[in-house]
Order: sequence, then structure tokens, then C-alpha cells
Amino acid sequence: MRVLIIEDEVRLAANIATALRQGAGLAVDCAHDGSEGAALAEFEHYDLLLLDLMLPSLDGLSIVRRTRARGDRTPILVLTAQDERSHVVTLLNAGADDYLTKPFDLGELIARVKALIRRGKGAAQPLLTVGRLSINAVEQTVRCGGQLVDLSPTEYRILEYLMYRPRAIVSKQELLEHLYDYTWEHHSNVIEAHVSNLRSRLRSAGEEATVETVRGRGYRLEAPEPKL
Amino acid sequence: MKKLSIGSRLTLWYLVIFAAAQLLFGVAMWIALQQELYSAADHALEAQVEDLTNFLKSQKKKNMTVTKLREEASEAYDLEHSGDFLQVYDQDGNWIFRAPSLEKNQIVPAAAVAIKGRSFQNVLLANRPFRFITQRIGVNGRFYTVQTGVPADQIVATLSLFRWYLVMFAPLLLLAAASGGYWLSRKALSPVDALTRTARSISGNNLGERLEKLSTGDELQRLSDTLNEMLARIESSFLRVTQFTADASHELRTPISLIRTEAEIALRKSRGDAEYRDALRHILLEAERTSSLVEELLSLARADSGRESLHLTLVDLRSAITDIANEWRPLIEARNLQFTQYSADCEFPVLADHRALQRLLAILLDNAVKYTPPPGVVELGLEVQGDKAVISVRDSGIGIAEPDQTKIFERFYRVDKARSRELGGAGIGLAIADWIVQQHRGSIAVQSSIGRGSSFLIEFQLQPASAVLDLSQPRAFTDYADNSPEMPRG
Repeated sequence: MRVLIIEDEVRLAANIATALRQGAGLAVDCAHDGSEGAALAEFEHYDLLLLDLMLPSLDGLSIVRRTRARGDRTPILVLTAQDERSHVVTLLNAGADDYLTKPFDLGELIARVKALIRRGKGAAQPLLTVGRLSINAVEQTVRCGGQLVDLSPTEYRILEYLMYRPRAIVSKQELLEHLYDYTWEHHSNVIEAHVSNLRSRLRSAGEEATVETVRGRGYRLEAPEPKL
Repeated sequence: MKKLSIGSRLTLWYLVIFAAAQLLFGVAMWIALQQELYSAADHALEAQVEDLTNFLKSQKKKNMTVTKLREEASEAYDLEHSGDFLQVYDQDGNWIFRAPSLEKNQIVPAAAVAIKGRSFQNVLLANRPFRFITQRIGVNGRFYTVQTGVPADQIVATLSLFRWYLVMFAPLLLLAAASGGYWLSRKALSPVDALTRTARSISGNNLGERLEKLSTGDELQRLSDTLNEMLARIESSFLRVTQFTADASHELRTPISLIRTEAEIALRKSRGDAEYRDALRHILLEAERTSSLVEELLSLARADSGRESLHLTLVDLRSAITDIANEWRPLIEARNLQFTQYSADCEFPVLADHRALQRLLAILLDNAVKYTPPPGVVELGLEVQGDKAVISVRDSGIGIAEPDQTKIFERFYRVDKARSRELGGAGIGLAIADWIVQQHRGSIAVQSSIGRGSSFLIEFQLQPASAVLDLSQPRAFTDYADNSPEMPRG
């Protein structure tokens, strides 16, 4: 999952990015001014926008309005220094999904970010199940029939992304866009290598579900119908 | 006692005035009617006396005895209606004619008869009202006293009926007057009620609302216009306060968030020495920045609440500025900037607070240094223009765009937010500078063009030369002590 942070205080943005990368296994991009952030939000594919309200060149509320005006349904979490009720109401009515008042607890921020991403994908709780395979998005653990499966962070992220959309074809490009931020060196063959590793790990754990390659189109998480 | 509303008071006044007018009118009408009715009766009585006079004149025979006269009178008046209430006496007190109805009722004539020879009076005979005339007449060398009357029950009945009407209709008229008055006052005051209702519904949450615009062209329109203007002023200062609160909380909460996240990340897992150092360095930097911001905010708060005062004393601006320049020279030159200071060769006696002056120039010089990339020039000058001392702080820095120039003295206004944040400013310095200049009754202005640099010009009023004598002994001026302005400390 990939998150965009729009926060003009560079060091604060870097700290949040670190926390989200390490604590939630997310790919994170940072923008330090309003119009740069708005442009990134429009042309890249993010699973969540995290923005400050007071920004140079374009304020947070305008970014929220603009994003919603073009029909973008990406979840938006706003960091605000004001907690007046009327202010919060304006923010939520403009299309923000949640807000957090500065100064905030990083643990709470991570939890809210995950919850919003989950909601954005249509899931209500952090436990995703496909066939015998299940993952816990909070603990970032994968189980196969109750047995823990050990995955690398990237393999886990690929699997998590696919688990939100079982049996749907996800293009390599989409995976790249949602799993990697600008700080990563990324090429499509990196994905191929990770998918191949993921496949063999699942197989060796005795999992029936597997990541199929659909030639020229992408990947698909395929699992046999549960036996009745 | 509870004060009555204007509407009730108007109604009441209306009622009182109407009742008084009605009473006056009623009484006047009643008196006029009475006069009219009695004067008609009196005319009839006078005619009867005239008749009698003619009768007596006709009895001319000499040695006419009283008895003879009685017979003649009896013959003339016994059967006449005009004789029903007639009695006549001669000057010796002998009666000439006496109607049977009056035999037992000798009417005492009013005193006026003796003087004017005639009087009218109202008399009750056997409970019946009469109008009587008593008159002395002289006929054939003898005097007679004549009394005659007419029944006045018709008059009394008419008057009492009229009085009855007055009393009967008074409450009805008063009621009509009261409701009319009430209606009028409601009509006149209903816009006031509307204004009151709207005004009452306006609070901090809907300050944008305005009272209904009246176009009656009267006092009420003036009132509503005035109230609306007042609301506009309140709204704008309310917005300023809200904006200030928002800005201040943003400026304070952002560094605190940074300190917090920095520490949280450092503590998440064990790290190397260098990483801890880096985190602590950032925490320290932010803590310093936050505390200087807090200081500035407190200065502004103290200035706003008027808790601290500037002590304006007679200061020689030239030596004060030279001192400040000497303090700043090494700091500015350390940034690879050229620093020049000049001043006109004369004394500059002004009323100033020395510490505030230092702070003012520190803010301006600090800004000049921040926004002038090396190798640039910073210049501090002092000259005379008319009766003003002009301090100028010029730099060859990045300059300020025209639209920003009017706003830079506003609190938290920053031309380039990211940049000034990096340089450690929160956009309060110039607001404080502006405040200090205002407290000195001076003025501050900026001239700037992008890429060429900025000049800040401060004007102070010069004091008369005679005041310079005692420059070595700064003293407080008592005329400033009463309303001594306040001083922000930072």
C-alpha cells in the first residue's frame, strides 16, 4: 500500500514516513507544499492521502475539495492543529475521512492509517481470508490453515494487496504503483522475482491458493473453493 | 418597580392625554349647554317682568290704595299662566300680588338685587326645580320688588341626560383611544422588535448574519444601519482573533508534533549512537524554536492585554543606534555580509524606551540578515527629515513582492512560509516591531522590490532642542506616565 504525506514541515513529514514504513509496511511519498502534493495525488495512485491543513501555496482543505471534486475516492486523513468542532465539521463535510489533532501519537496515526486503507478497500476488519489462507493486516502475519507462513516484507505487501482483491487480475504496473514509493529503485522484473518467491513459500507451506500469472495482463490470487 | 416597555408607556400616555382632553371637552360642552338653556329661560322671565312693569304703569290714578292695586293685579294675573309663580311687593313691604303657590315661600332675593337691581336664581319648590328672577322696578315714583319664576325641570332633565351621555360614553371612548394608541405604538415599534429578534439570534457562530435592511429613511433605519456596521466591525475582529488562534495553534503544535514523533521513532527500537544524537539534536532545535515562539506570543499577549509598559525617556537616537550597530556588526559580518552604519552629524533627541528600541532594530536587522544572501549589504542609517528622525534598515536581499508589502506587519504572515520556517521565523517579528513603533507614536513603512532588496523606514518625532540639555540624565516624562504604553519583552 502506498501513502502520500503532504506536510510542509520537512522533518515531521520524514518522521511520519519512517513510522509508516517501519510500523505499517507502507510505501510512502512526501510532498512539502500544497500544489506539489495536489499534483502527486492526482497523477499517482495512492491508497491514502495524509495531509496537513496549513500548507504553503495550497491549503489542505482545498486539496480535499479538489480530490473529491474529480471523483477520487482515495481515503484522506487530515492532520490539524485546530480541534474546534465547526472546523472539524467543515473538514469532514468537504470529504476528509478522518482527522488527527497535532501533536499526535504515532501508534494512533498508524492504526488510523491502516483502518482507513482497509475501509478504502472495502474491508471492515484487519483479518483477510481467501480459502485456507489468511492474513492479519495489523500484525502483518500470514497463516495457512492456522500455520504461520514466513514472508519477506515485500512478499507480504504483494500478498496483502492481492488479498484485498481475490481472483481479480492486478497488473504489474498497478502493483508497482501501490507497493513502491519514489525512494525505491523499481523495475518490473523486481516484482516478478518477488512473486516467484512468494509462490514457492506458499507452496512449501502446503497452501493451495497461489498467485497465477495471466500472460500480458498481470497476476491473480487463485484459491480453490472451500470444500463443504 | 419594573419599567414598562416603550409600547406600553406610549399607550398609557396616549390614554392619559386623551382622557384629559375628553374631560375638558365634556365639561366645556356641559357648561355651554347650561348657559344656553338658562339664558333662554331668563329671557322669558325678563319679558314677564316687562309685562308687569307695563301693567303697573297703566295704574296711574292718584291715591291708588294698596288694596285697590291688589284687586287690579289679581284681576290681571290670577288666571294668567305668567302669574303662576309671581309675587310683587311695594317699597313698604305690602304685597301687591302673590300667586297661591308662593304664599308659603317667600324667596329671599340674592344680595345682587340691592346692587344691580336684578338677580336670577335656581330654586326648589316642593322638590321641583324653578328658575326665578328677582327685580326692583320703579313705576310712577314708587319702587316695587318683583319675583317671578318658570319651572326648570326640562332644563335640569336635559342637562342630566347630557351628563349621563358623557359619563356613559367616556369608558367606551377611552377604550377606543387605548386600543388605537396601542395599535399605533405597535405599528411604530414593530421594526424595533424585529431588530431585537435578529440581534438576539446573532452569536459567535453566525456573525455573518445582518439585521434586516430597512429603507424607511427614519431613525430606525439609522439604528439598523449603525448596528450592522458595528456587527461588521465585530465580525472582522472576531475573524482576526480566530485566524490568530488558528495560526498560533498551528505554529505551536507543529514543533511539538515534531518533538514527539522524533522521540517516538528514536525509542521504537534500539539504534546507534549517531541516530540518537541526530534525534536529540532535532528535538533540541525544535524545543529552542518553540520556546522562542512562545516568548514572542507571550510578548504579543502582554502587549494586547496592556500589562507591561514602555518607559519613554529622552534618548539620543544617534548614540543608541551606534551602540546597537556595534553589537550587530560582528554578527552580520560573520555571515559574509557588508555592514555600513551612518548618521547625520547632530543630536537626535526622541522619547523612546531603550530596550524596546534595541528589540525593534534587532527584529529588522535579523530579518535583513536572514533574507540577504552573501555577499550582500546591510545598512543602518539615521537622518533628519523636517521634525522627524528617520531610521532606515536597508538590505540588498531577495526583496518583498508588492502585494505582500502591506501584509508583512500582520501576525503570522510569512511571504515564504517554508523558507522562513527554516530560518526560524514564525511571522511575528514585524508585528511586534509595528507595535513598538506605534507605542512610540512613530510610523514604520517598507519599500522593496524583488531581487533588489528591502528598506524599512521608521519615523520618530524629534523633541525640541532645549530638551537636549539634560541628555546625560534620562528621565521619565510625566505626561506619558498617565497612559504609559506597554512593552513586549522578548
